[in-house]
Amino acid sequence: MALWQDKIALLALIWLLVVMTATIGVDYLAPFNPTDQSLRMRLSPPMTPSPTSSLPHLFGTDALGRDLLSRIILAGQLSLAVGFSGVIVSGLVGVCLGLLAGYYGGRTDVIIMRAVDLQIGFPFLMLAIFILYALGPGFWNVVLVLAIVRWPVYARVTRGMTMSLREQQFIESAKVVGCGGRRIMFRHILPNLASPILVLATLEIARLILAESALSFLGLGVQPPGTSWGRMIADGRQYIGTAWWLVVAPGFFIFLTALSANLLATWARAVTDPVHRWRVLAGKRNRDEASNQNNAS
Amino acid sequence: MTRYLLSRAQQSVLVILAAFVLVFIIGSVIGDPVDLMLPPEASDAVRDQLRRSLGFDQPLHIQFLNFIVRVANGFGESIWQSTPALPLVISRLPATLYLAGFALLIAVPASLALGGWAALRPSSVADRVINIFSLGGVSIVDFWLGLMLVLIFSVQLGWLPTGGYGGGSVVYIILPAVTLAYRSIGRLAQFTRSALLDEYAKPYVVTLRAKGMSEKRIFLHTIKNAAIPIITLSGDEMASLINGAIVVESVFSWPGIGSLLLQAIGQRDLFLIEAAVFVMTVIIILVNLLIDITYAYLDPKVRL
Amino acid sequence: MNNREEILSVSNLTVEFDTQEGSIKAVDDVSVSLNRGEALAIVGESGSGKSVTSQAIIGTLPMPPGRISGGQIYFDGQNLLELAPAKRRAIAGARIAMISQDAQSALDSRFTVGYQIGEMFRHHRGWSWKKSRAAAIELLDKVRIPNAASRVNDYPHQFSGGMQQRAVIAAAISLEPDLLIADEPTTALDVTVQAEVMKLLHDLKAELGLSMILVTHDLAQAYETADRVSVMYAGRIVEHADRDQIFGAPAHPYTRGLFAATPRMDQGDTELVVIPGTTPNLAALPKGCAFAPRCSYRQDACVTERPQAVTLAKGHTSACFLASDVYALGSPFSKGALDKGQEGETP
Repeated sequence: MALWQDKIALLALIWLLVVMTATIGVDYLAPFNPTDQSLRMRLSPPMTPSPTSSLPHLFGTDALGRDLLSRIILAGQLSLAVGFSGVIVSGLVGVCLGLLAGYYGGRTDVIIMRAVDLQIGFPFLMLAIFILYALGPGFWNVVLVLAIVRWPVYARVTRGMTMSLREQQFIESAKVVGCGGRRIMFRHILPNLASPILVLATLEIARLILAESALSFLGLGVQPPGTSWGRMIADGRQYIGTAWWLVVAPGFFIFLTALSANLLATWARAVTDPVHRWRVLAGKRNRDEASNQNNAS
Repeated sequence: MTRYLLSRAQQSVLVILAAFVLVFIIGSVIGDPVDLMLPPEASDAVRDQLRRSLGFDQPLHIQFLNFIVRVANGFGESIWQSTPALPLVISRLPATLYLAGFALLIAVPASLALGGWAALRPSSVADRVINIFSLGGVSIVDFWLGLMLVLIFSVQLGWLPTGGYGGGSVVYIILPAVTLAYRSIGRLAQFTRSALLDEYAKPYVVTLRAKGMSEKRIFLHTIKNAAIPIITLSGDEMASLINGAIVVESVFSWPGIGSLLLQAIGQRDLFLIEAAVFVMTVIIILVNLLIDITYAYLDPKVRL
Repeated sequence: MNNREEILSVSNLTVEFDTQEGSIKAVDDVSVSLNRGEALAIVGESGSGKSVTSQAIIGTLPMPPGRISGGQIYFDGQNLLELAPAKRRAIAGARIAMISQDAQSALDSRFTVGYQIGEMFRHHRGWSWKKSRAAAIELLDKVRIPNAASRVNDYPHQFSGGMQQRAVIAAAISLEPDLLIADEPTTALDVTVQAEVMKLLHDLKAELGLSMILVTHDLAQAYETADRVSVMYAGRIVEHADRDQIFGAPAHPYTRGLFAATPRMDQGDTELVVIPGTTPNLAALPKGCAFAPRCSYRQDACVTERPQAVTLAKGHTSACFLASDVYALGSPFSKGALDKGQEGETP
């Protein structure tokens, strides 16, 4: 099924592209300067007209009179940056270790997988909170912590697939031709793992955006003057009775962005993985095909 | 079976030991314990004095031995509460388990109903709606959901309290439990749907249809077959519910380990933090162990 | 045509499947009929439509992607295809029963054998579980499972393959159906067990006066069991006749080919003749006779035009332009070969 045929997945992709474009081009695309304060305009509800611009404050303003939508776009920079950086770092580490474990097997495999099992047994948020507390807050520390707690996911998936690929004919041929282990792993095995790893990475982006917002909400993530969506919710919390939009709007951005990433990953998995295809798409048709194969003989 | 359980129990002990070492490494090696305990503005003299009095100026292996002794004495004294940290954490454990357990009680029936409904009408509008609802569960920030629920049901409608324990009364636990449960509902509902669809594709269902059985009776068969993986996953959800409780508790001022941990972080109470992290980790490891034992008991193939 | 009471009459049945490459006709204009107490064998290769035909009759055809696009199925005077779903279900199991090829997967591994037999009484007759269970024990006894009273509480995996198939048979005959559809009932079994199960079916058919449709690719089995034989190819019936007629003088090249491809007891050493080519792709059937590409009798007309059924003798039809020529060739078997085969397989 092509992307444009799945309307929901297409909407998800459009949303992600819009959010990414807006956050990257915040200086040009945000309706207001996200740092411009106005005490007179503080805590204005959504759609309040602005005295300085023809555009209204679409989502209202915060306690310092800053335009909320512009703040959200600015905060999105950090939220998305943490998501992407975290995925890249944890993915690199996890995929490499997974390749090593799956390709070489034996002791390498035992050691790496023992570490993976050990870590998957730990409560991930708890671990992240504690490490971040010890390291101190900050962007790269958050990325580092998320990489530490999430690499085993990639390692596990990569290892499993590498092990099954290792036995296949074309890998054998590559060995016969005299390719070294590193060349086989990166030139022959890795390309075959690309699509499942990309699907996993998309799911993980959603997860890391949520995790970052939780850490920021707890005061362990991004520190002022920097801000992220989770931080905005934490800051707006004290006004929940009087200025609900401060909490509602940023949370909605997190929700839509994570939902879009999840929808896109679900769609991508359905398309690239025939085994999973029926799980996500037309369950019924495929279910009947399956039973049909069992019966038609 | 006994052999499997023994090796599984041994593994759990190993993970607990690892957690123990990890707590030491994070608290004493990655972070400087003195920095973690004192406010940034504390003077050098105060720092040195604390470092010496707690033995953090010793070589690492001595520090580790000190750590073992300290843990044996209840993780040391909480600076904030001036009592041993461990009993303090343990006293908060029931509230956390109560919340997570209540959330599980909401999540399992709800996701069975949703997943079952979707599986019986694959590709229907209901199926798509349930699919997006389930994906919503893994896409929503739980503390935000909690705040939204407070906004609607406490602030606007005034039906339910905004937070607190209320002696454990149901009125107080509904919002935090629903908040906590939604993510599990999302995961479990999707899993239930696919597990049931798997079953419906199996030949025994064709046999049941050939036997003229009603859809209700066929569902009885498929759900019993899908039950073991669903029960196992529900157990996994218990572990992630306990994990998720950390944040949700703080939103609702629920007096569990999670909110204690966050207060301890606010108070820079390292020993209390260490105790809370360790206890939570041990609880989750034990829950995982319990799931595996249940699984082994339920599945004849593992049992043999 | 026949004086005896007709229990099943399928006329012009067409079943289509919607696939990615468009709609294919898995069953194309098939008509079969069956009298009370008779056995009909539907013979063909995989994908010939023989299983789909039986699924359409009992009502387990997956729809979608399957679709009955034409024809009627009259069972005991009522058109099954026009029946309300509830009434249709009441017939399935109670009056038309089915045995599938793989007993192990046909049984639900999480329920006891006794439960799965007993639920027939429970569901169709509303009996108590206790009474249903007692009936299940009787049935297990009837299908010759030793210690039925204790085995009734066993789970399917505690049964051997042959016993599992017996248990499936027990459930199928539990309500004394009028029609039993056996879809390759012995394919998954060992050769010795096959004979036992076929013997059991034989005896039950006689004892209960069952009508039976045997779907099979095993000609020896068809010969032993059936009164009449329909041969299917690419969704169509290519030849239909009484047992002795079809084995005595097959009138379709495909049937002859099947006979030649069957291992025979009388000629242990001769090489099997394999029909050249592969089973046709239903999505791209030739314009003329579907068997033409593999047929050694092929003529120009076979490629351009589809042959209609011709009658060669009373009740013996063949859809082949050369039917009478093939018919004239007579039996491909030496005298007594089939009977010998039968003796060999049913001790």
